[in-house]
This record gives sequence, C-alpha cells and structure tokens, in this order.
Amino acid sequence: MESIVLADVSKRFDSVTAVDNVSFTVAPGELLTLLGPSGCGKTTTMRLIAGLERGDDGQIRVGDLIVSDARRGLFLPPEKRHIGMVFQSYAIWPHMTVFQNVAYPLKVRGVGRAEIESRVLEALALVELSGYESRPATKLSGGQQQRVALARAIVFRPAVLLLDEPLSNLDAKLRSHMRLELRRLQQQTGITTVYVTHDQTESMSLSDHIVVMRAGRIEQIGEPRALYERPRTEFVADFVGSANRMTATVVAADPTGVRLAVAEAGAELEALRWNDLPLAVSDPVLAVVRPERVRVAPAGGALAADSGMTHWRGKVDLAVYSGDRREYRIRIGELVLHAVTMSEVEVARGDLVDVAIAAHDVIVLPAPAVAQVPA
Amino acid sequence: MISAPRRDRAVAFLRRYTWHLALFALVAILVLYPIHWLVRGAFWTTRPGAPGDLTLDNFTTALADAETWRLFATSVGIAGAVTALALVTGIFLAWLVTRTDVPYRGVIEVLAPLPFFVPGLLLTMGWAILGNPTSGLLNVALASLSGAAKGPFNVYSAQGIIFVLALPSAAFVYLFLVGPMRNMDTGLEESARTSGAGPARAFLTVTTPLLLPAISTAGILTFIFGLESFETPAILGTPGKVFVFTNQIYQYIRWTTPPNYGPAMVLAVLLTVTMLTLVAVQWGVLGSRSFTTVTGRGYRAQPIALRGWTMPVLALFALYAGVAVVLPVGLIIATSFFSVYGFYSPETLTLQNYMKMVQDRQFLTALTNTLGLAIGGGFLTMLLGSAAAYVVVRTRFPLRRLMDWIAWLPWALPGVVLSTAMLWAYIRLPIPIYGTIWVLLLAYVTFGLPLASRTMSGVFAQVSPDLEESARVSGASWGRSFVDVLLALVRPGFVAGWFLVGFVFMRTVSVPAMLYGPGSEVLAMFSLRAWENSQGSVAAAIATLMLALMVTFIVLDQILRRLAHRRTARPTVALQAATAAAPARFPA
Repeated sequence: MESIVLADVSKRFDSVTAVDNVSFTVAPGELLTLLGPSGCGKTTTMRLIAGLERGDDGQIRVGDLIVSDARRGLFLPPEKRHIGMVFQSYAIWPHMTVFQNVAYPLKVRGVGRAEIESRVLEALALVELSGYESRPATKLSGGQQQRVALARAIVFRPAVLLLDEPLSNLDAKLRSHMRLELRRLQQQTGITTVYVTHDQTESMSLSDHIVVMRAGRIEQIGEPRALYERPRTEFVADFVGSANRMTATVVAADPTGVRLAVAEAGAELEALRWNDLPLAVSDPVLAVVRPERVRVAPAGGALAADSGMTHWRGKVDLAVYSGDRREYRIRIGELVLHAVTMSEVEVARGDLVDVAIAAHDVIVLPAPAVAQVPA
Repeated sequence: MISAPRRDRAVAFLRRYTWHLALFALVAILVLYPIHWLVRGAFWTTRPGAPGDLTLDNFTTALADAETWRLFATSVGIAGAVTALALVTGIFLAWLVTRTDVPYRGVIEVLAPLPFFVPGLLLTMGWAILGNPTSGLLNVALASLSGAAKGPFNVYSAQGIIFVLALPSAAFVYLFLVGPMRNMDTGLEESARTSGAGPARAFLTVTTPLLLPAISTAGILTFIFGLESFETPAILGTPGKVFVFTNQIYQYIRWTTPPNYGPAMVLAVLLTVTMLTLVAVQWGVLGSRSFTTVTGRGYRAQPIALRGWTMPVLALFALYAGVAVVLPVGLIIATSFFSVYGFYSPETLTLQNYMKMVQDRQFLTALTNTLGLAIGGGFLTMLLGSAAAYVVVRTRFPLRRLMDWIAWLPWALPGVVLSTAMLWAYIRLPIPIYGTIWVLLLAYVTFGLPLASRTMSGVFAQVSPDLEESARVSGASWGRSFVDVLLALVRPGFVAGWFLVGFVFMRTVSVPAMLYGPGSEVLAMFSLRAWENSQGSVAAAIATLMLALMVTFIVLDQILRRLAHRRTARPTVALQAATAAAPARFPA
C-alpha cells in the first residue's frame, strides 16, 4: 500500500493548460476519484501519474519514490513506475489470448513460467474469469474485456491502480454490477486507487475521497457526503447531484443562522451557516436545495411545523412516477422547485401542496458572478 | 548572436527529435531534390548535367507555340472523355451490385474490379493487336462478316486511347463507389420515403447528393489517371501522331537525337501544374464534406427488381468483362506462343519467344532487376513509408504535417515526370549511380513512398495508442512495447502494403522510361521496347511472364492472409485498411 502525492502539478498542450497547479494526496489503501466534465483535465492528471504524459511543472510521488519532478528534470518512464492501469477502451491486445494478455506484465518482468501461470490464474479468479484463459481477446464481451484489463492491471501486484472511466463502455445494468465489483476488489486487495469518471453517481458510491476538477483546476476535494451536502461552489453543487438553485438576498444573519428572501417565491427561507461565507444584510446569495430534501405533502398541515423549517405553499405542475420514487415540479409564485420523494407520497398535477425545507438542508453560496455585472 | 536560452532550446529540440529530423531530411531530399531539378531543368539552356544558363526561352517558345496548346487540349480532352465513360460505367456497375436483384451478384463482385488490376501495358498491347486497322483480329473478323475491305476500328487514334483507358477506369470508379453505396445508411433514404418522397425522388434528392463527394472524387482521380497514363498513349498514340503530355515527353527525350530537353521539361512542368490544380480541386471537394453517411449498418434496403432487364444487363456486363479482361489478356497469352503476331496459324505456333527470352542475358538481368525492385525496393519503400507514417500519426514532432505532405507529393507527379526529374537530378550526382539499377531503386522508392506512407498511416490509425500505452504501464520499455504490440499488430497490414507496392513497381512502365540503360532494364520497359521494335510476340511473351509473376504473388498473398486469419484473431481491419488505401489518392 502506497500513497500518491501530487504537488503543484501542471501540464500544458501548446497554449492550453490541461492541468493547472493541481495538488492532492491519496492515502494508502484508499480510492480517490477524479470527477469532472470532459476536458476538465482529469484524464490528463491520471496520465501524468502513470507517466504517459510528462508534466511541465510540479512533483509526483508514489510512496517514497519521486516518479516525476519537472524542476529537476526527473521523469520515470511508465514501465518503471510499477502502476496498474485500466484504460477506458480496455486496450486488450487483440493478437493475444486472455492468458497472454494477463501474463504480459509478468513476462516483461522476467517472472518464471510456473509463477506466471499461478499468478495469472489467481488474477483471473479474482475477476471471476476462470476458464477463459485460452479465449482470443477479440472474442470477449465488453464486460469480460473489462475484467481482463483489470486482471492485467493487478496481476503484478502494483503499488497503485489507475482506472480511467472503466465503466463508461458498459450498459447500465452491467455498470452498476461492476461498480460494486470494483469496490469489493479494491477493498479486498487494499490497493491505493485513482479513479477517473464524469459520472457523479459512480464517484459517490465508490470513493473515499473525490476531487472535483474544472478547466484544469481543482474545484473541491472531500468525502462524497461532504461534496454532496456541503459543496463550496455553485459548480460542485450543480455537478454533484441535481440542485434547485434560488437567487436570494440576506434579510437577517446571526453567527449560526441566516434568513433569506427568495424573490421568485415571494417568501423567506431559513438556513444554517456552516461555511465561512461572510454574510451581511442585503447581500445577494445563491441558495441551493437538493430535490430529495424538499419535503412534500398534500396541503393542510400533514407536515409537522418544526422549528428550523421553512414552510411554503405551492401547486403541483408536473408529477412523474418512476417506480422507486416520484418526481414533482412545484410552482411557488414564480419559483419552480423540483422535488423527489418516496413513492408513498402521492399528490396529483394541479394539487395544492405544502413544501418544507429544513434549515440544515439549505446550501448558501456566493451569488453567481454574472448577476453582479454592473449595468 | 543567438541568446543562451534560445540556443538551449534549440539543442534540446535537436536532441529530442534527432531521429525524426534525420527521417524528415531523408524524405525531403528524396522528394524535393528531383522536383527542384525538374523545375530548374525547365529553365535550363542545355541538357542535364551540362554547363548552361538559366533561361525563360523554353517557356516563351512553348507557350507561343500552337502545338503546345493543341497537345494540352488533346490531353485534357482524352482525360475528360475517359472520365465520362468511366463514371457512367462504374456508377452503373456499383448500382447494379448494391441496389438491384441482379443474379450472380457474387460473380459480378469478383469480376468487376478485375480490369483495374490488369497491367496497362498488357491491356494496351492486347487492344493494339485486336484493333489494328488492317490486321486487327476484330477488324478482320468484322470485315469478313460484312464483306467490306477494311474493318471499322482504328485503335491507333484518340478514340482508341480513350476506349482502352476507360476500361480499367470504370473498374476503379466501381471500386471507389461500391463501398460508400453499400454502407450508406438506408435510414437516410427511408426517412425521405416516410417524409413523402417517391423512390426516384428519394434517390435524386437524398442519395445522390450524399454520394456526390465520393462521385466527384472518383471523377477527379480518373481524370488524373487519364492525364498521367503513359503506356497507352505511347503504344496507341505515337504511331498515329496523337500526342499527349506523356508520350510527347517520352518522344522528346528517348526518341529524338539529340534529346530535346527544353520542351520536354516545360511539358513536364505544365503537366505537374495541371495535376496539382486537379488535386487542389479534389481537396476543395473533400475538405468541406465528409462521408458521414457511411455507418456500416448491416441492413439492406429492398433491392430494385430488374425483371425483363436482367438478361440485357448481364449481357452488357459480360461484354465489359470480355473487352476489358478476357479478350486482351487471352490474346496476349496466345500471341506469346506464335512467331508472328496478328497471324495465327498452326505453322507459326512456337515456344521460340520464350526460348529466346531465356537465352537473352539482357532479359535475365531485367527479370532479376524487376524482382529485386519489386521485393527489395518494395520492402525499403514500406520501411521508409512506415517510419514516416509512424512519426506523422503517433508523435508530436512539430514538422510532421509538413513531412506528411512532402511524402505525399510524388503522388501528384506522373511517373514520366518523376522519371524525367530523376534523370536530371541524379545524372549530376558525384556518386556514379546514373544509368545503374540504383537510380531506378531511388526512383521507385520515391514513386512508391506516398502509397506506402498512406497505407501505413491507415494501419497505424487502426491500432489505438492505448494498446501501446497499456504495455508501457504493464512494465514494457518503449522498444519492447513497440515490438510486442505495435509491430505485431501492424505486421499483416505491412505485408499487405508490401504486396501492393511490389505490384505497382512490377507493372510501372513510366518510372523506368527515362532512367533505364544497359544493365538496368526492367521487364515492363523491356516489353515496351520489344513492342516498339516491332517484336510484338516477344513483347507479349514478356507481358505474359509478368502476368504469371503477378498471379503468383496474388496467390501467395491470399495464402498468407488465410494463414494469418487462422492464427488467433489478427485484426483483419488492418489488412482491409491497407488494401482500401490502394486506389484512394487522398492527401492528409
């Protein structure tokens, strides 16, 4: 088990800065996700760790070993880094069998024939592909190719494992199955893992920590729950999960709480203060509430009037049943609020409803920059 | 003074790209040095290698001469007519195979591309024997049928050239269009139908515009082929004083004493400019459009029923296959066994032509040279083309685009022009390679470079960089991953390209036309010279032998491919990419 440390790493392609001064640490044995939209630099960051790209600045360490240091001109080629990697395309060699594919990392390391055999079989068993040894690599399904790639990446017991969107080419069912499989495998082997994805659900369910990237920079680092419930920027709030966004103005503020006026709703909203955002009366802010934190009940007091709760009255615009849950679009004045509830909560289109939002579920962020452009 | 950081950067650049730069220099010298002499020769007062001055006279004389413009008109007229004929025939063939219920489709699909692979020399000599105005077999047969004194055809004419050139061109158009037409997403046409258009309207308003880029590209390439063709005008045009660029240049240099270099060089430059203009037009056509219609969906639309037209259509196809392949090839093979060509009777039946050949030292030299150039030269060309393609496709070498363009450039030069340029370039080299087999080797490598590098960049593009990178992270060094992954995966494509290049080298007459000499003969040129010296039977025998060699190569290639297929799962895509790159004259 090794740690991975990136310190002030940058990478430019011609005039584009793909990775801009990125620093983070992956603790030994943990799984860290690089999350972001396409072009945010997450894959380049991973390729820098693997040694497939040469950074223009910064230092990368794997365990005690400095694998690259741009200042000192130090660069360890990928084959010297002892890193396992699964490519998005799987990169299974089509001219080799399953066995040959998985055996390759051991072969180039000069491992003896008998040991190669036992370790390849062991790796294939781990990914549940026993019996497929002599199958030509081109005669595999997508899910099987993915497993071969995984077996090949761990067969030489690398210090760390890199996974580049490994599930994006699988269909939805297989994807959720493999997600759990990956997590099981990672925890079973205890291998330090960096995982690249643009899928926030995937990153939530897999990671110990998530690094959200945007335009080459780190937007926020944190545990999945912290990112989801306590995003620090509008981008993170939006990218991780879905969000109701409301522009608001501070009406009253004390050290623990804040009262906001939501103009569109023509009503006020209570929120807790949990970040260090300085707030004064009449400051513009952005209030964000997750759809599943919006409580909905037929109008008429079914929702308890707890303290620290904001109660609004709205009208159902759209009701959608999707099996395990219901989704509503509720109109409150000018405001349109999305709500996701359990299936039991049933209201119909046109119904008047009570809406409740707990103060600790409200995320208060600085108002978007565009709103502050002077006339 | 260069500042220190700039010098450091230059040194770092040189160190990082040493091999890239060496390759770049090699490619640039190989291609640009002869082209430089081609242009310079056009402005030179005397013969190549001789002292002289730069002059504009060659151009002013040529451009003021009505003959030059007539030659230009003849060339363009012939190429235009060939294109029109080839497009009509080729599109019809492609339509027949992809859209109708024509019977024996499998047979047609095998036969239709064949004329493209028949060597031009053989085809032309075959038709020269068939369509000779007095002794031509076809004329004699038709005259005896009709009772007239003379047959109706004279193949030694512009019409004759057009006819003979159109035969392989039609097959080329077919080859070029059959893929796009077959792979066209039928949904595009069907959505026109569900939008309310009838079948004819859907074909005209959706299918045709979608195919237009492919059709116009095929047309331009055919036009270029018509312009640069050498052996057909040389055999059919020269005797009847029908001159186009290529046979006129040949005439000036090889059949005039002393050679008339100035006018020849001017014509070569004019022809090159015309070709480059056409290529630019082709870029324009292709640049703005892409073949996004090709989705490779397996679904086939309802085929059009030919009904009563089936027999006439089959007869037409049989006629095409007959005049383009069976008659000329059969006749040449037959002729090689008779002592006098054109007159076939049991008394003249003989093996003499072959016996004479085997005893001829010159012939044996030509055979060795041809095989050496095709196999060895082909291999060298593929190596160089592969290296260039690798740098272009796989590295970030800053000059890679430029190198790609230079490596492609010989494709815009007709063989005769390249040959002439080589003549000027290498006659003055201090190393005495002129008139030897080595200058031919240089010329062939230059000539084949575009085909080799195009083919290989297609093959490299098929192998995802991920495959190499995953070998690197698996612990393989760059060299090891290159051998274990890249080489292993591109080998079938390389071999296919090698066959292709070897093929082209074996059949080309135009490239050695200006360069051969005693000791550096090749079979194709040997055959043409025999023909020109009225030894038609010997020429036929040599052509037959070449055909036999080529068939042997094809069979060998097929066997190798079968073996490759059987061994696990080599990506056959690479092979297909290699062969598909053959007729396509695409720049980057």
